[in-house]
Amino acid sequence: MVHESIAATNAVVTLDVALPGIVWGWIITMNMWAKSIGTGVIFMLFYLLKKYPTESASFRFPVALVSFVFINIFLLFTVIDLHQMFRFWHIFFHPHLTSAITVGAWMATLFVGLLLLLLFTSFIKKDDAQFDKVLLWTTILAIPVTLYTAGLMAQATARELWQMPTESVQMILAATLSGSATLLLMDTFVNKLSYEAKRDLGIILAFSALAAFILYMAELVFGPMKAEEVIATLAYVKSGGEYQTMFWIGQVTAFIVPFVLVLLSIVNRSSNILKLAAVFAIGGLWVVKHVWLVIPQLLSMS
Amino acid sequence: MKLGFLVDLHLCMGCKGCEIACKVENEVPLSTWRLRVKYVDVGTFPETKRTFTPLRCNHCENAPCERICPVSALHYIENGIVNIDKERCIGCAGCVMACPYGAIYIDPETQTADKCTYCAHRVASSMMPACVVACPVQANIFGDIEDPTSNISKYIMDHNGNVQVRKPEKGTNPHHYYVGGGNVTLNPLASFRVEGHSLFNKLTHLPVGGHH
Amino acid sequence: MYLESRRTFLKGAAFTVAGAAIAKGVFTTDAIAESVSESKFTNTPDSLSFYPPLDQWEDFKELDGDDWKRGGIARKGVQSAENPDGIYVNDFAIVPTACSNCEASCGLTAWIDKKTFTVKKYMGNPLHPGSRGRNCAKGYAAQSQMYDPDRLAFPIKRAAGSKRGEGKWVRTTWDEAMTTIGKKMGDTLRVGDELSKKSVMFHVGRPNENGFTGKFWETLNTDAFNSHTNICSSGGRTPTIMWANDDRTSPDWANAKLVFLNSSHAADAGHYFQQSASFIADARKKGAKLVVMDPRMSNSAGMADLWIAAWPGTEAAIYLYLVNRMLQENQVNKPFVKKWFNWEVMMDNKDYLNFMVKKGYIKALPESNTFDAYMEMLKELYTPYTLEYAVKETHVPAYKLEQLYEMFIWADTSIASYFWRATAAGNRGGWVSGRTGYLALGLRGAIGPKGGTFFHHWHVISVAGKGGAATVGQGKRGANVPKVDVWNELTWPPEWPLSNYEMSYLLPHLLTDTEWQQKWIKRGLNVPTKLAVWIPRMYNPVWINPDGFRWLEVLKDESKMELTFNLSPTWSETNWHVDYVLPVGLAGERHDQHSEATMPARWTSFRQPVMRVALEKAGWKPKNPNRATLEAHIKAGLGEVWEENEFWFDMGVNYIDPDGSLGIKKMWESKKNPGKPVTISEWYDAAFGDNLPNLKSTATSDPRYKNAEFPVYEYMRDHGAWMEENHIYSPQEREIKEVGDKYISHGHEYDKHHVEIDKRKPMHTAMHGNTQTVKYLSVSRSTVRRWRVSQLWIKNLTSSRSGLRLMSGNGLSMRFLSTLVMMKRRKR
Repeated sequence: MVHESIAATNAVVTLDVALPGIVWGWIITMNMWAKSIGTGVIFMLFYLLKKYPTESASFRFPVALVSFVFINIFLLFTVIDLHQMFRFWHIFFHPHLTSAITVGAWMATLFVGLLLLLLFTSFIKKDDAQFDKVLLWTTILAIPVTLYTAGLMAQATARELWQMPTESVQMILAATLSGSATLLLMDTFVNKLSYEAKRDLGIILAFSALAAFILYMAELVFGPMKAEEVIATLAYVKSGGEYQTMFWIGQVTAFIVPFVLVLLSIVNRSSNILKLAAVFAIGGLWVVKHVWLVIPQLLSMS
Repeated sequence: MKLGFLVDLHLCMGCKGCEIACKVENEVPLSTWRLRVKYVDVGTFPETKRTFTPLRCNHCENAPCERICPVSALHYIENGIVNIDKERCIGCAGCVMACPYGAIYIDPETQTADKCTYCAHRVASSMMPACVVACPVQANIFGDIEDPTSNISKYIMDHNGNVQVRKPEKGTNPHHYYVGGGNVTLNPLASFRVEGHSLFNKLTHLPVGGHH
Repeated sequence: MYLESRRTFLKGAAFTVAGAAIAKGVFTTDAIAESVSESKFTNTPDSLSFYPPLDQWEDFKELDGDDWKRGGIARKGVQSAENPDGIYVNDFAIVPTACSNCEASCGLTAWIDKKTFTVKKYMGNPLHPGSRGRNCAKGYAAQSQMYDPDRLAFPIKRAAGSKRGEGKWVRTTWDEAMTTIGKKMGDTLRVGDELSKKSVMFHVGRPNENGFTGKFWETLNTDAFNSHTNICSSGGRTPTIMWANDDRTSPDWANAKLVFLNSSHAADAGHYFQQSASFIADARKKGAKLVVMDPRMSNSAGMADLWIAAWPGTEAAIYLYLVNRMLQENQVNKPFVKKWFNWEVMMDNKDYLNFMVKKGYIKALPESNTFDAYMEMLKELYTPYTLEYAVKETHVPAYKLEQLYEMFIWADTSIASYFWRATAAGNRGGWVSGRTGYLALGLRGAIGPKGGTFFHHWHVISVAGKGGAATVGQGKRGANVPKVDVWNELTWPPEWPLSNYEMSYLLPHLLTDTEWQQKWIKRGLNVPTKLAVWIPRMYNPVWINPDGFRWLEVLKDESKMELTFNLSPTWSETNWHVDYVLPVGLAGERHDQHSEATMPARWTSFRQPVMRVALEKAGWKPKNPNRATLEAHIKAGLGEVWEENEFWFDMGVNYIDPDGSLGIKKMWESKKNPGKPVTISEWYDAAFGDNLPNLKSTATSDPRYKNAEFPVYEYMRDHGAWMEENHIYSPQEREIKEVGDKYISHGHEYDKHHVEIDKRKPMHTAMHGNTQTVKYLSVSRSTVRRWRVSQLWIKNLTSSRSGLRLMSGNGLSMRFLSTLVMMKRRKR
């Protein structure tokens, strides 16, 4: 950067206060990761019910339950991250609708309501038709629920790395990645999916991994050509950076390994490898999200 | 009425009188700063200089913190000041994420977001902010930027409108201007921060206002 | 306002969803809006002031900064009976005082919330001509000093049976402390011999006042007032003493063209920092250039137009280079030099001229004793100090020194400079930089005019010890205080007759060096071998002084210092080892008259215990008017924190000399209430009123004060600062007044028959005894020639033991100590 180049413009900070460190840490990563699973499984269920209705029939209740559990994990981590967590109800009684946080919170609440309805219709009422009707609305709502985090990140003017277009896509891809992976793992217990269904899930997984990986690499290589702040932020994941190792662990486990494993599974017509891919994808996703959340916060704003 | 602030960097000598005046006036807790003066040394010996840059909230016209606050704890008041509300704040730290100037901190005692308020309580009492009063060299100019005859407007025109703001490309439209500012003083990426960049200790980061 | 707030609310309501109905705001809007509209507070004020006008200082309402964080008046309204949840309103009494965190005495105001009677903050004093309502970080920090949980809240003493330094403290009362200390002091003084007058020592660190304690020690008829100056500023004062028998520089920063800082002083840190820095900023706004000579890049150096990073200790070489070039290039201000340098003294001193030839400083004796011959001789004398010489000595690149010279010439007579810290502070030979610096300034004539450098005593008011008219025995301005006729070897050891200040860091060594003591005792001097009482004040020699361990040794030795007590609000390493620690206050907790030379004017601050003043204005009256400050502080919750003025008044009358037999009691007895100590208002009304005629006439004709019992005191109480005279330039040009058979110069009177007039110079000289004795001459001084002293420069410095004012290069070997600037009167 400028300061290192010329003797005359060589500039060094010699006195300043200690700056705040990382504000949004692993708790927020948990939040994003759990939400991806919670919405992702709904997307997958919708798809499976459309394409493989008989096989996936028995997934209605389990998926609704898994989604409900993970959405609640997401909500729990959101609330405990607050420095005044018992005041979270302010979001409902003093809402500020320009904020993605508020809009997201309201939508997530509605989403939980719909999930409860899904659970009710599948477990208590046992009415599949009604379930499917509610599922349609739930799936539609799942889209903005997945996306609002991207909006939140975009509204953080300070963090140049978090751009709405890429983050929107990344959020959707994270949902489809983790959703397909979760369904694959759930099938270990439900055991009703045909090879084709599992292969479809695997393809969704692989495609999500590939697309996400391409986006991250594009940012890594081409982002610095656009903005000085991006250069400074990405320095943390490039050579010598604090988060270089963690970044690549994430990229490999979340994207490269699952992609390769899915290809292998298709070639070998084996669905066991798919489960392995799923585990890698879910674990790796957490790491990827964490690095991308943290590195812009290491940059000094002033 | 839109209140604006101007700092004349030709005059600032880094005495920190304004920092302490702010601390006393607003009871700002230890290790957090509403206002601070950063020293950046430039050049290579024997041709070296030291620059001093007071940094505080910019009270942006288009404030990212106000936009992202889920509960309007950060809100505009009619004189242009972006105000805080420690009873409304839920401590989500979205504002800390959003502010491109790092002006917001979590108050360790109230566990809510806090920042410079241009001494809005003093303004409401028809008095100047504490840092403006304290400055020995009167480097701080404060007033109504919508009034062309106000002191701040005249000061800007005395410099032919050549005032700078921090990170104009972010679209925040700040109400805080600098005269004599440049890349070294206003762009944090233009200077190198060594580990332990304070003269007296090796602290670079402090945990954010405490616990959850 | 009401309508506006309702509209604002409704505007907001349109954007919020149904939740607004549940939100609190709906039901309390009216009460909130009303609480604001009925108050003076508004988010859109018509104007913004730096300070409220003086007539509002007794009752000024301001919203509270900490409480505002709850959302401000738009959300919560103003706190009132109808709106208890509103933003808190401070009910301020604003009381002026002066800061005490350095020696600048910037004005402060204490903002006291009358509802809780706490000082919420200190801000500046807009009425103070030097500080102009501004302060540095330390001024605002005074508030945290006042409420520091570690400060002492009552007198403490060393537990009976314990040793000094063991840390076994017990609480005691002021009465007990004063009784014990007073008896010891009184008993010692009652012995009445020469030794007793040397044994009760006051040792000042930070004075923060102009002459009160010194006066008290005079009334004790002792020579035992010690300072810390020799490890601090005596290197900075010595050049000024040598050149003009004054104390230090007093530059006119605000009008200077060249601000030439010899150290980081003035724009960065230092003695008068904030005021100087603000005047320097004014000058730079008008196009002045800033040059800083400092081995390290201080803040001032970092913002200077030119930074001269001279090798430490070589600064004098730079001044000599400037001098040499000025002489060679004919840039000397000849009329000034001819009129104000005592070149005739030098040219007539054949012995010294021969000495210079012998040493090779000049080739031959000058051909005549005219001014032109003098200038030619100077030219020759300074030839060795070339650019190459300076570059080699200082390691400063040549182009920087040349740039400095050009700025020096460009600035003509408007060069403001200051010789104090850096080279001058505590460095051996450091006074040389000031000594050479004055030569450079003097040759350009930059001494006295607008924007130039002048001397301290013309720009200072020292009246803290001059309220004698209010006492029974002192007489107006202390005229009847008997002269002291002893000379304390512990502070002025005979080995150093030319010392400019007390050799205070030798105190523990001299007290323990029995060989040294015996040497002088054998020669007939009454050298003290111990101190009966040692009283440091805002001074921590254990930490500050060299050989602190020796200080510890002596402090702990009860046979060397029989009774010790420190007047101090805080702990320190020294305090830990004394017998009593008596808490006296800091900035807003004491009375002082304090003035400094920060601009070409005479101004003074009045430091006050702000809680006492606020309480008195609220109608409170002390039970004992002589302990009003103490009672006020107890009432205000600060504890038993007192102040030195009242403490010493009380000591002098009731504890040291209770029956008056020592003649001390009457010195501090109130004329108004004989038998009782003088009170603050009595003392300061006289101190200010008898010595500052402009102040007196202003106060006594002001409708607010003219009918008061103590109009001048009350005026100062309400304003906290006063400027007696402004725009004091080139006072050396002022005529000496003649009144009857006396000459009056700068407030001092000289009997005409004591004055010699030299027609050639032409110069008046007088042997002037200050309040310390003149006739005592140490044995070693009998070998030294009788000195002459310029009358215009005789000041009541504790250091100006007559006979020690150095004249033209007698006896000192350095070749560039050639001339002395003296101000003199043109013979009519």
